Amino acid sequence: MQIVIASGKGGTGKTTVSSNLGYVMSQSGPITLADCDVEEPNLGIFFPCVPETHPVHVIIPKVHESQCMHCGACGEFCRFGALTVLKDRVLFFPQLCHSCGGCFRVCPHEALEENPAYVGEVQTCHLSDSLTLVSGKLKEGDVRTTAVIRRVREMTGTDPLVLLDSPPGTACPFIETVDDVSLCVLVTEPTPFGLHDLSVAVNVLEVLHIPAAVVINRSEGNDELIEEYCATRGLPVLMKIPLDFPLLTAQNNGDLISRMDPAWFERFKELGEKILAYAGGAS
Amino acid sequence: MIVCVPSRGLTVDSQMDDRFGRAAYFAFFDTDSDSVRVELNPHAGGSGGVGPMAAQFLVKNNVQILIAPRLGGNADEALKASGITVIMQNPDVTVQAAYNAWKANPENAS
Repeated sequence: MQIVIASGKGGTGKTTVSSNLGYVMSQSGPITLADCDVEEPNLGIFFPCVPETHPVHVIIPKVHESQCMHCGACGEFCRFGALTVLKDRVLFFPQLCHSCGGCFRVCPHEALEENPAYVGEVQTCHLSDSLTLVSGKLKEGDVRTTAVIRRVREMTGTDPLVLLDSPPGTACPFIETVDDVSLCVLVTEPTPFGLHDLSVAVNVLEVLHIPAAVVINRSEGNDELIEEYCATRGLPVLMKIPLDFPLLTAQNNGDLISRMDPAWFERFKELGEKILAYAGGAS
Repeated sequence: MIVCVPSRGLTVDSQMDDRFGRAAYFAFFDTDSDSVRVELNPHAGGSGGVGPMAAQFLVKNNVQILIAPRLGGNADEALKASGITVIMQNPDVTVQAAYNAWKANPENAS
């Protein structure tokens, strides 16, 4: 079963929830924590280890000018503008290429060669018998985020229980992370910004037919804004995390509150049980 | 020789478009026959990479000179490689006025 922890808005507590949840759930069975926030993976901070590293490549075209007739077929086909066919040469813009492979198919002169391009790496750590951490890491300066996320998902695809830490936002990296999962848990905060980005994420998940549930973080008791929205949209609120100083201190020290405080362990254990029950029932 | 000016509208009295890759139309002036035709930019609504795509469109239309306000990095690279001369022009004028200004002083690649 694959479950995503996402938020829409950045900084609402995705990693707080996924790190604690991963630790707590690993105490009762095997679980894989997958960091899909490949532009700034940070789950590793809470689980230091020496990882195994697997490079991620995408396929990009290399033009053999000696065979190229400058017919323009590849340039016409490429909707991303990565190939510009001029009268005497072909320009290739690697950062615009989506590695769809279409240019290889449309070239009538076999002038394009499939070339690998390094875009990042996936790091795996077996932290205990029951807890595995898999982190995607995009090459600095690169934009091909989804290729690295896809590799993280391929490498964890057959694991029995996977908790995916999503990148913020609701664009391509988020969609690559949530595609075909059993449940997406949205961590939000009781502010107008939290509500706005939550509603955007909920709308995207609705289009993708992925069940959603909500965790309210930094609750100070006045969560009507979020609760009313969730009631209207039929979304269960699985947990409220209070604005709690010891939790913030633990988090800022790279520690896990659930490892330090049995009361917090129980709270996250209850969240894990609710998630599994809801994902099982919803999917 | 073909001179291209990005345009907001279908006629040469339209204002010059201040974008290149996402320009709504391109006006193609033919200096030999003293004629002009305006064409829809097929890449204006593309999701990305529209700069190089528009450059390719200009190459296909045998453009030698582009009068434009500003260019993105990819468009600039593609235009340089294609040998199209770029003349910078403040877009606060009509397409016809931009062309006339160049014609009056073709050496002035300001």
